[in-house]
Amino acid sequence: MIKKILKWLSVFVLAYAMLFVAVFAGQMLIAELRDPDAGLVDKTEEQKANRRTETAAIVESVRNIVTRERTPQYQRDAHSKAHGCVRATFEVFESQSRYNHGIFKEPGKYQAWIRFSNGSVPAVVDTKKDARGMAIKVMNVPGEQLLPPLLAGKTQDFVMINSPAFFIRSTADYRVLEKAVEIGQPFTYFFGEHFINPFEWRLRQLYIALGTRKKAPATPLSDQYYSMTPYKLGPHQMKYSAKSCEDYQAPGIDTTAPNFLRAAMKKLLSEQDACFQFLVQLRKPGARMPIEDPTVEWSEKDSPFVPIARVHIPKQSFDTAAQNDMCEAMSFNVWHAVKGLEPLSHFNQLRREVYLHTAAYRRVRNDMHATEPNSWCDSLEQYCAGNTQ
Amino acid sequence: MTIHRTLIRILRKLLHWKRLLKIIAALITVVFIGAFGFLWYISAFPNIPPYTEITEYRFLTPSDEKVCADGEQHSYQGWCSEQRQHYYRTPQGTEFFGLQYDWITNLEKPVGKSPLVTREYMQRLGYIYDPAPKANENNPYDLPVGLTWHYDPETKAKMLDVSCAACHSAQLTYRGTAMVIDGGAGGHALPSLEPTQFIANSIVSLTTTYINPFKFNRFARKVLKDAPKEHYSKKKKELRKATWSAIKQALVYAKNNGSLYPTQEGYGRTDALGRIANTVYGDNISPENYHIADAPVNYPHLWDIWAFDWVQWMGTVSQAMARNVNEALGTRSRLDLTHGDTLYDNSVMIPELHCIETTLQFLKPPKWPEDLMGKVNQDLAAQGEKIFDEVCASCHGPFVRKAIAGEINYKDAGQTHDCKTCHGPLMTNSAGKLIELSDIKHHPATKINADTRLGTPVPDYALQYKRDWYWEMIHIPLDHIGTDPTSATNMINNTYDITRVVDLIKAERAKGSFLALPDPKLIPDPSKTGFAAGLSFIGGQVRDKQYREWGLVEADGYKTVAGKERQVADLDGFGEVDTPVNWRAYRPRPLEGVWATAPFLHNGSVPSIYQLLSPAEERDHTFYLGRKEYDPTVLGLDVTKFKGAFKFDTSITGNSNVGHEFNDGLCGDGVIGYELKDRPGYCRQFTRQERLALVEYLKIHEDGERPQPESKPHCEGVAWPKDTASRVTLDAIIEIGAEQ
Repeated sequence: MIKKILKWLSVFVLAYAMLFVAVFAGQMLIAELRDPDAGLVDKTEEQKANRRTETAAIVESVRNIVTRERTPQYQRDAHSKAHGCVRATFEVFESQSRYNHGIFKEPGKYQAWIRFSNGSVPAVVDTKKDARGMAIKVMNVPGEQLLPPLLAGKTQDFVMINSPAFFIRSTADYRVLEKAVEIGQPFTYFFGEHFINPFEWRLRQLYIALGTRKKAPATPLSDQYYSMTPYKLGPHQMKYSAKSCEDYQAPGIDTTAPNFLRAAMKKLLSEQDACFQFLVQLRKPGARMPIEDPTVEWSEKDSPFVPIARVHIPKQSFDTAAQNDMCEAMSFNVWHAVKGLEPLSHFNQLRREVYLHTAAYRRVRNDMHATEPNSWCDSLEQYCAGNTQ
Repeated sequence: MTIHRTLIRILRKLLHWKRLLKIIAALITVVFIGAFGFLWYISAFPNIPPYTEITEYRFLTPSDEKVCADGEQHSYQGWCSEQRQHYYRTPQGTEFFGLQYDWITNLEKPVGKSPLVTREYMQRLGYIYDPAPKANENNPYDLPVGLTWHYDPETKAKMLDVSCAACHSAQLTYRGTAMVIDGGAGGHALPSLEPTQFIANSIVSLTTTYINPFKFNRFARKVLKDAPKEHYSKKKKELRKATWSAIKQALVYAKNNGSLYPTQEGYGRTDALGRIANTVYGDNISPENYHIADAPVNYPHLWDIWAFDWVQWMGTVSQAMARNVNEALGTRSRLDLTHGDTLYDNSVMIPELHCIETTLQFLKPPKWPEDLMGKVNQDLAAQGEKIFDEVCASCHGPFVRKAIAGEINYKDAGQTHDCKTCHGPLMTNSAGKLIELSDIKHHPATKINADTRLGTPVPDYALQYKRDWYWEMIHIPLDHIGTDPTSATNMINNTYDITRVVDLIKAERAKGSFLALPDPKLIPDPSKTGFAAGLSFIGGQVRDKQYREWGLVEADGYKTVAGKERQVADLDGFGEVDTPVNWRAYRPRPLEGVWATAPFLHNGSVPSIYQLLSPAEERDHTFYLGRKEYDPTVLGLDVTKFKGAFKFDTSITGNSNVGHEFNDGLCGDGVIGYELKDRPGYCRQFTRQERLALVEYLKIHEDGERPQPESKPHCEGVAWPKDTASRVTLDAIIEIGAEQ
């Protein structure tokens, strides 16, 4: 009797395993065959209106996640663990005229802040697999800001992680994910509420998600980071990327320590300068380069990444309490941008609301009165004092 | 081959008639005992809220002077007992599977001989009782408020009628005293199909009565107690037939509707629009039109609604008669949409609806009873009033729109006052998009024009006859208010196929009928009819059919008969035209008496006003409903756990408790305040002190002067007849409408 049950059970499990493989293969195949943006573009007024409602729901979920994960400080809803904010110079080269839009209009040198981070919330130790983030805030950039004056400074932000593709395909999916995270069951996003319904599985997205969780690099300065979502570059569309100039190493650092990435960066920058190449990849009309679907990587064969700027990180010490506090008060938002570099896609539209709301929420809750910085100051008080707003 | 033979042998053995009989007998016994055990269990130990003993009833808002019954008594909430009785017992034409009035009171519990419908049972389920003495010709059997009867014009049967008051009346208990909140939010679970709930239990009981001959004999003796002896056996046969028909109708309903309402409504809620749609478009036209309805809403309170230009939670309907007819159709009034010759035949009782509507014009909001629930701290309330004026009033108004000589002058409106004076801070178009009021130089023309059904407008009645002025409702876009969008999006997204009705009309028109086809501007494709446009069309036909029979509308058309414009305007409700709009928005309403309407938000997801003034994360994520015990410290219900409660889970679709928040960060996307003065666009949460101040103030908040109601309720001729006559005579209505 027991044997029989076991037998049937094993048949059942096997069948499910095969189903799992088949669904995964099917989803991968469909993703390859379909026009990635078809079905993601709003066709009716109604869809646009629904999107606004969807955004409000996501903002609400994010607020709740931020509240739940407070430590007791209210932190970012993603990339909450910083390895440090470092001073940098953003140097725009002279380049072909088609790249000359927004901040890239003319060659120049700008002061900038860069924040390196781990993706997961709540924060995990650096030794665990995770996505790593790099956010650049270039200051005193000429040009017309995209945000209303009350929320804007004179900054141009670039926000990236160390994978070229995002694992969520649509903002509708993102709403489901945020809801699942909000109630503390993120895995239901990939497997459905009861795990057994194959129609609720999102195995391709799970595959991409697992791909974005990577073993930590030797230092945060030794990796390549990507924008994932597209932006305007004048009349063109582009994705951007920052690639470290060399494979920096920080010998003597205990890579099993929970915060070794900060320690590695600290050691490296105490001894030498570092740099990143700043690259853009233009969208080639006709190629498979979707605007809306961030799960599809733009092939470098169709259009290569081209360097048009350099990020120079001088030798420095950055790990002070005042500077770390300042780092937490800042908000890196792709909509801190000038005309000519407008963020594209529904995801970037969503980010506008979500980032603005979470930043304002944590600032008010933490009682930090921060606006956009305008200098390489040492503390929050300094840059706020220097701010003209 | 051998397997084949063995199988046949086994089958033969099984199929041997003796053995077969035994198996069947055993199965029947098991099913029978199981069913009996189940019914006995739910009869004896129903999982419903406990009984709350009421030692005293308290009416609120007494009049200053004795104005009722020849100056002997005070009115309460603006009503004398006559108006209260009209409201409690005037039927509207609804029918529940052919259940008859006399059956309900004579049904026994599914198992046993004790009566099913008792005060205790019904009160436990959240139904409320008339505090007036039991013996009452309007209520001979001591049934809950709103349960009444009408006579079916064809069969002459005395049908159970669930009228407005059943869902729009409340009694809040506080330490044994029941505060009567006339027009308040009902607390029962009438539409529930759970076998312990009233309607379902009645059907279960009716079924066991039908099956069990002894039970049926007892039932028939009681129901037919007045039947003459010589006709008794004939009447009993008819009764048996009618009983079976009711059971059948209920089963069909359960089959069609059983899976349409995945979000449990619980006590005090129903997916009103979803159920109206599934009844009118689904039950009455085609099963293809059924849609999942997962957006339960509170029963809204009814005081002052007659003064509003838009009603319903989304503010979608502008005409009182259209709204009432559609509500009656949705509450299962009979309506024929499948036969050409009897198209639009219905059981909606328009005179009665008009009586109820006009009676409600005199209903006043409940006033906080200080002697019962504690003195109001005037200092604290004064602080609250300041915040209210600064924060709440900009959306909740009321926004008074006054007419001069019957007409509102829009020409100079822009010069004399800010747009916000009438429209509040946010005005949206029908797609829910914000209208930039500053971009609009001139006010658009009023919607009354020569094309409307009233013909050429005459200023003194056309726009707002008699009412003279009204309270404008504003619409706050979904993404701004951030409250559960399901109700609004269901209404906007669902479409219904009414081609069968259109085909019937076409066939009738081919035979020479004048029946109108839907307006192609509003319903371009009948197979994809919008919720509101379709209801406006069908409900309008039902309404006009009645008007036509009364000679108010041309016998072979839709134009108002000359000289009858005023009566039509009066019946419609102040001459409002029915122009439903699917706003992607919710509508804030004035807040006098709001303390008595818990739980809050359109979906009843926030149990108290204190929580409503808090960030969403501080609100209860689950709470328990089924009692109406009031908590005066937070202006809400006591929602602690108890046995038999309905667990309200805010994580379920349609139940979200977010939005309408006072929280930190940027304003918007669900955060509506409290805006920082030094940083526009940024909001902060209320302090505890500020919340308490608002709570204190909302106990005594008043909305100021109301427009002029009718001179008196149009219930002349309301009688409580023993036969089939309508309770309101037509003459009375026509006369009242013509007076002035």
